[in-house]
Amino acid sequence: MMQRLSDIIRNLLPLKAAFFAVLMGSASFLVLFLGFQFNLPGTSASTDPREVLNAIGAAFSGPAGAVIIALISSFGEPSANHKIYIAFQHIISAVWIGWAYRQLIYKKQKIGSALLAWIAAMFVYYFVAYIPASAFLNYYYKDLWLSFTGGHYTYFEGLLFLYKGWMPEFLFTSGFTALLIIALPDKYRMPLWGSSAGMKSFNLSGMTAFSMNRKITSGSLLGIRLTVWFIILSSIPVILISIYIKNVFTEYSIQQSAGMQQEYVRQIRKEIDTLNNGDIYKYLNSLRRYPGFNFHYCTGKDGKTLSSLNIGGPAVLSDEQIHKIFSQKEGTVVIKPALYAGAYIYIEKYNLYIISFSEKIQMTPMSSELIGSINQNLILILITVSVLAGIIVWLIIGLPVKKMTRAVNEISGPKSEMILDTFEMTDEIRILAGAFNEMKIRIKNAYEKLEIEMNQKLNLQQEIIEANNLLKEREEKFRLLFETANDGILLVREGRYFDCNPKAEELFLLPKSKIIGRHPSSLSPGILPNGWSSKDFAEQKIQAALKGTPQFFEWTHLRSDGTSFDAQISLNRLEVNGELILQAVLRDVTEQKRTAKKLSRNLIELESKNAELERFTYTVSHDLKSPLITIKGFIGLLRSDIEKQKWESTLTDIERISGAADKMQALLEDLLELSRIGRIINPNTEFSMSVTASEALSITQDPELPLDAEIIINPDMPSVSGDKIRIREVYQNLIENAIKYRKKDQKLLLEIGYLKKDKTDIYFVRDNGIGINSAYTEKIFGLFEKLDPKSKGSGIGLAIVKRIIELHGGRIWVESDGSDMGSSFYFTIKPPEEK
Amino acid sequence: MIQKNITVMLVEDNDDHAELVVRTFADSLSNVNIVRFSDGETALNYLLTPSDDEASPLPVLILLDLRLPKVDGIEVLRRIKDNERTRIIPVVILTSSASDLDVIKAYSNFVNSYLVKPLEYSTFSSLMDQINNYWLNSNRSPI
Repeated sequence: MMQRLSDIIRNLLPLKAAFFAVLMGSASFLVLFLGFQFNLPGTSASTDPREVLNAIGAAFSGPAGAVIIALISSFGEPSANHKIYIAFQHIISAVWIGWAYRQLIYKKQKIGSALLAWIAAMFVYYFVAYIPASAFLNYYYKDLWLSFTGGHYTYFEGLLFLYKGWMPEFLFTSGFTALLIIALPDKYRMPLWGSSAGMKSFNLSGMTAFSMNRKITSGSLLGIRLTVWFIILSSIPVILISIYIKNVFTEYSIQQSAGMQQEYVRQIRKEIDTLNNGDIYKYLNSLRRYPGFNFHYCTGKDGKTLSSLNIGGPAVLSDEQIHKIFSQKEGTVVIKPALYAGAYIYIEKYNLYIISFSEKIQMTPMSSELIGSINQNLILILITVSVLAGIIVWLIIGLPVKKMTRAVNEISGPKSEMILDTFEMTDEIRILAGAFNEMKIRIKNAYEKLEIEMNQKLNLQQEIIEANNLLKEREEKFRLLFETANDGILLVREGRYFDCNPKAEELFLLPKSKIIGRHPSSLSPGILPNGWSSKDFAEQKIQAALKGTPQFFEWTHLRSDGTSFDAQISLNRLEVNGELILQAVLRDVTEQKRTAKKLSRNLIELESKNAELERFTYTVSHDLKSPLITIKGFIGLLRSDIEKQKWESTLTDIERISGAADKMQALLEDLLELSRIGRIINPNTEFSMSVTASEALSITQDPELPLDAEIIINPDMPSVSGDKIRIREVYQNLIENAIKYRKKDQKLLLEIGYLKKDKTDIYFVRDNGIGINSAYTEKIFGLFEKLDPKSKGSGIGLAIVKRIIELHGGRIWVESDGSDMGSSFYFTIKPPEEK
Repeated sequence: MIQKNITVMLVEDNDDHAELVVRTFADSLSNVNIVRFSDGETALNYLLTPSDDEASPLPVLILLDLRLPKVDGIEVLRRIKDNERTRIIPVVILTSSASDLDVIKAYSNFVNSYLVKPLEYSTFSSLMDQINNYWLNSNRSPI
């Protein structure tokens, strides 16, 4: 707040403006105090130059300075009333001109409009700003108003009277100040207050100093300015002479007037001497009644009467004058600067001083005329001399300067061969021209040299630009390669990433800023699948690559979300500005690896399927051939026996043939059944394993099922999705097997249930039967495999079971502690979503 | 001609085939004692258990089927040829499988002959005669 306030003050009234204001205010005060008045040339009106000082002072020091000037100068006014009034009206006018000069005039670009604006502002200064001041006077100080307006009582009449009186002074002041402003060099015209930012003043040529577009003028600018200066400077002696002449005439008039008053008071004294005692005051009072006649009397030493004498207007006797009167018996007195002349005489008989004052001393018409004509002649001489001086200056300086300006303009092109013709020049201008020529030659040489250098530089620059463009183009190309590469590219310096492309960000799911600064092993699992520590492995590869051997290897990387991906990495050493850096190209091979794994798995599966198929064909051919051999063999035997008429084994042989045919039929049926599985697919349904197992049990119509068998089915087995009929068939087969291979001397225990292992449901069918030798746990699931050749069935049951389970994405195996220890068949079924 | 009782081991799970072999074999020689085993396990037990018992002499010839319950023919062959005592016994595979793979597997395990059971009775019968003639007459047996 304080800072802002002090800024405002510094702007409004800078130190130099304040100083200037005090200076001008003091000058104005002195002019007033010394009664420095002169007749306006060509008129009988007299003025003092304080308005010139006030206006110029206010214009340059601004509104705040204007207040200072008005206050100081008003102290020069003779009476207290005057001080207040003059101060008041001057403050109004000066604040106006202080503001207006800077805001309305100074900024004008053309001198003509600037001067018109100045005169308009001065008009306001004189005739508008005084309206409120006069109203104030008219209202509060009627006596003073009357004395100023020559007895015009009303406001408008008085104002009109004042304006008439001011007109000559206004013309003088505004004209003189306008000339002064023209005469001031451009840079001194600047107001001393306010911020100078953006200020651009008018000047004589209407051009700014650094305008590149130099127009050749007539060379008369200098002449005009000098003429104005001549006028201003020579007007000072003219004014002084005018003041002197006026003073001479005034002094003469005063002396004459004072002499007349002395004659008058002496005559009064003679009259008084002839009067009786009683008539004296009657006589004196009768004298006072004459209008326009200042007659006073007072007893000896009565200073009070004298000091309150209102002689006319602002004229009062000073204390010294009163003292002088009382110390002498007779004499004259002059009141300055109001110009009243008076005489006094002492009458001992009555101890009375008689004092008489003239009317305000006026110049006789003859004197005025004389002064006027002297002034007129002086002015004429002044202007003539000034104009002549201006012309001379123009001829001596202006013209050569103009010529030089034109010549300089012509030769100013650095390539121009011209130089100035010094023959036409005179004096210092010739020297100047010579110096200029020398400078010109030097500049020309320097320019030529510079031009050569410039051309070289330009060529160089062009080359640089071209090289730069090429570089940019290449850089752009490589940047594009880098940015759009489908492999992650990372640059490693001193074992840390320092740059990477967007693909790398995509691979790691990390912004570049989070990748930079990391060790290449930091985005990997601590231990690699091959058992190495990531850091050791990475370090080894980096060192090898730094030695110059490009490295290709596979690596497991971690993404920011914790998932990993397999990458094929190539590490290459690059040399950039003598520094060795590594370029790591990362290719995400997770998908390839997965595909490869899948392919190899498929291959293994295919191979196993192939083997199975081969085994199947082999088995089929073997097992189907087997009964055929029996049939054909025994038919052959029969035939031979018949030929030999041997009948003892005929029936059994026929039985064997029939049995083999039956077996073959059974085999064919089983094969058909097996081929149906997977070919005829029942719709997938969701069903409970417990229910399915129970159904299987109920449809097992094995006549061998012992009545005392204890069968437990877990009722809480989960539901699965799949081919319910086939799964039931699985249970049926396993139950039948359990019955078939039970221990004949023991109660059959059969448990059907499930257990959970690693989130996998494992179903089991457990019995206390004869068990299976661990050597045959695989074999029993083979086609037409039977451990006991005498047992019933074709040996296809478990093959069918295995086939069904495998079609359900599961696995089946058997566990048995050996013969007589019972056996447990386990199987899994893949959950539906993984199928 | 010295008539001596000769033991021929037949390992055959199929009763009908066993009967067929016995009857066609018996046609040609009367002094041949055919011991039949219906699975590999019992056959091996017989062979690999050392015994001087007259009732269980080592056979001069083993007729071996490939497809057997419990221990299959190739495994039986392997173990016979693995054993110091039994490896000298000629082993003839008599099977219904004509698979090349089986032939190779058998010979890899030092089989002495590989014969496929013919479908036709006459061929079967004459094959049996040939076995008889060759292995029991022409061939000099180490046993």
